[in-house]
Amino acid sequence: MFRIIEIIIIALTGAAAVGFFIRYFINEIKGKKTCASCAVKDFCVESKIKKEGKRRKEH
Amino acid sequence: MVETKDKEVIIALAGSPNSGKTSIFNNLTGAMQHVGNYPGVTVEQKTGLRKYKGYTIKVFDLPGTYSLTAYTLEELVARNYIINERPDIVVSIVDSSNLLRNLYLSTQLIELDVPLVFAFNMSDVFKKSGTEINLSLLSQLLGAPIVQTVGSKGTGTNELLDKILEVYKNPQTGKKVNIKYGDELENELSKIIKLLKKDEAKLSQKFNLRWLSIKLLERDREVLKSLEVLLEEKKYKDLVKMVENSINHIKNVLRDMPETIIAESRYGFINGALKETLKEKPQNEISASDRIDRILINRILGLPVFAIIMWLMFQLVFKIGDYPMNWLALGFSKLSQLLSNLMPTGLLKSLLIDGIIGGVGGILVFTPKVMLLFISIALLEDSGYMARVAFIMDRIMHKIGLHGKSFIPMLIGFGCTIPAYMCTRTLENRNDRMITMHINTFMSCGGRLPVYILFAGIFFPKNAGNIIFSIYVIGIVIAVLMAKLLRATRFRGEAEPFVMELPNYRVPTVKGVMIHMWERTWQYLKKAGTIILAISIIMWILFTFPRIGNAYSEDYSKQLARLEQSFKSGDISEKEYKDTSGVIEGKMAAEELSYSAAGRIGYFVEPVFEPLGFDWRLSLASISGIAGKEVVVSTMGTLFSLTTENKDSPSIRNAIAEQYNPLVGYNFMLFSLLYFPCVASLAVFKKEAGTKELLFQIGYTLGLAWVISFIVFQIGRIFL
Repeated sequence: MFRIIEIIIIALTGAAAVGFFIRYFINEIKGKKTCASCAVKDFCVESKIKKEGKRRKEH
Repeated sequence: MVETKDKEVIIALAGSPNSGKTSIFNNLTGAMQHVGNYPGVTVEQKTGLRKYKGYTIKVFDLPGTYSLTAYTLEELVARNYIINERPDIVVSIVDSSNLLRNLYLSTQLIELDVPLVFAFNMSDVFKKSGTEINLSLLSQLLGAPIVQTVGSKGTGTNELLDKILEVYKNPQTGKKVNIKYGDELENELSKIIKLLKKDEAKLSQKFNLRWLSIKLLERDREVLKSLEVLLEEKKYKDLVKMVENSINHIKNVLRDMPETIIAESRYGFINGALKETLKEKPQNEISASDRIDRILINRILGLPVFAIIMWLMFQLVFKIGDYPMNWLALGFSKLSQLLSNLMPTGLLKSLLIDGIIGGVGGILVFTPKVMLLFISIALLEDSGYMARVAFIMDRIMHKIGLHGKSFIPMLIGFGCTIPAYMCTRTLENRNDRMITMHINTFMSCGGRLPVYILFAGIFFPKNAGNIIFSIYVIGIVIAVLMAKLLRATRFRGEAEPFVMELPNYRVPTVKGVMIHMWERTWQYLKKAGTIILAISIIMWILFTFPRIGNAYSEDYSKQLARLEQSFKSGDISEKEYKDTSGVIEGKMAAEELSYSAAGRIGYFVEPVFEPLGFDWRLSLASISGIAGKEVVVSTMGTLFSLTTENKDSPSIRNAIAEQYNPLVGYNFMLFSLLYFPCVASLAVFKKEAGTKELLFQIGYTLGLAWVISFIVFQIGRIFL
């Protein structure tokens, strides 16, 4: 039983890691972000400024 | 201005580089800041929040610029932000000790017709100079309130916030100021404004018509582009024709280009305003800054002093950093031991101990040293010494056809290559920019530091600081040589003239240094917790699968069983039993690794790296470094953790020390320094320079790294 749980956990962890890694690379290639650590969220200030401007115009 | 429901005020900080914009930003936003990489000499663009008297004040820190023309990208970014996003208030930060030059940017902000507040920063330095100023008169002349601040001490922050809110509530507080450009120019401006007024409905939403007309007389490309889109074709053509006529008329009458006259008039305006309001004390004595500069930028002493400061910095980082690093290593060893005792033997235990703790933990143990290095760099930057370094390097850079301005991105490259690439945007000449980008990779970024710490610590424990210093110096020397080569071959031409900035020395504030250090350390930690964690898991999977099963070259289980029997029957001692079983298990682990996917990749590429002294493990670690140079360390950590019985840091280090000699260790550091930077940097490189230059960058750095490492290894082998 433990072996099965172990394999499931490893498979899920591996899939998550690979997914994150692929997403990171796609983001890099598309130039979506400006720093290496931002694979999770777009921290790019330029986009933040644009979003802010858009939000304010809508107001 | 209508107040929004949540009373949100958007302010933008504009100012020349070294005007103390960063300290004002920190004072305004405190700990609530967001940090992101951004082009510019100060590199990091920040946004932050401040709650004050029932208002939420959002602060945008614009790139530091001297002007708002469209010559450099940062000028354009700052200008576009003000025009397109229309912040509620623009705070013009002015270095009080250099009003004439700093107010030039302010005159352009006045022309943009945005609600303004002036922050006359470094007012303590100004007061010390003995000059007196009539602030209320100057405020009237400039048409906006002035607040005196001392960014480094936080003085004037509340007054500045009060003034911001005052102007926000009543934007028409100040009188409208128009800088006069003389009759001829004013006549031509009136004609253009008259023509533009026909489309006022369209244009005035975005632009101030007078500003637009001035820009047209300056032949501002960006403004022309915008008008081409906004106006009908015929109207646009008529406008361009009229502007060209006006320019020709001005040239004929005044014998000068309109943009020169405009710039002179702006300086005239500032000069006039300062004459009215300033009472300067005659100065005969030499300032403290000048006295320090006599040594630090001395033609003969400058460079050796820089080398000594750098050397001392590395000694400090490594001698002091060793203690907290060892504590962290001990912490991770204990964690590994704890997990080892708690968990049954199996894949999950190996993933946690060998993959995650071995990989990510291997990176995290270096955090104290990284922090110390960044504190040292922040101290040098904040004190104004780094600007002197650029000045010292200016002479050398001129000899290779570049100027000191190119050295600023190189200095930034010591932190991270990405903002360094972006910072090259300040170079107006494309050839200068391309050379600077191509050589920037030789500046040792923070990501390479763990590689150096690991290998220098293992192979040169007594001289680790000196060894890493030598790698940094080699990087600078190769950068200089490559710049010379690139200038002579691919990017010919002369460097554009540029005046180096020498700001006054300042005592760095603890808060400022800590913020700079934390920004970079946080990035390092985030990377360790995200992409390096993911890669460590992937590398562990690649090192573990496919499983070898019974495909060992020898029957190790039989050998182990026989050994156990001999031990039980008393034929061999406990020590002999442990040693021999350790050797057999080591062999098994080595075969398992060779059989794994990562092992196969490593063996596949090994022939390429063999002439450099690298085995399949180092070859694989080098390849994994493409994702991020720190990954080299996490890969080595996982790899050697899998083959080492004791999973603690000293055992892994011993295992690496047994496997290679100091020559290979040094050569590996050298190779890591020279080959192209991580994929994130390459993506930025492509964005900034294009695919062709990217391919050139990858090809030439890889080739150079291989050739130099080959020479070092082959020659070193003769002596060792």
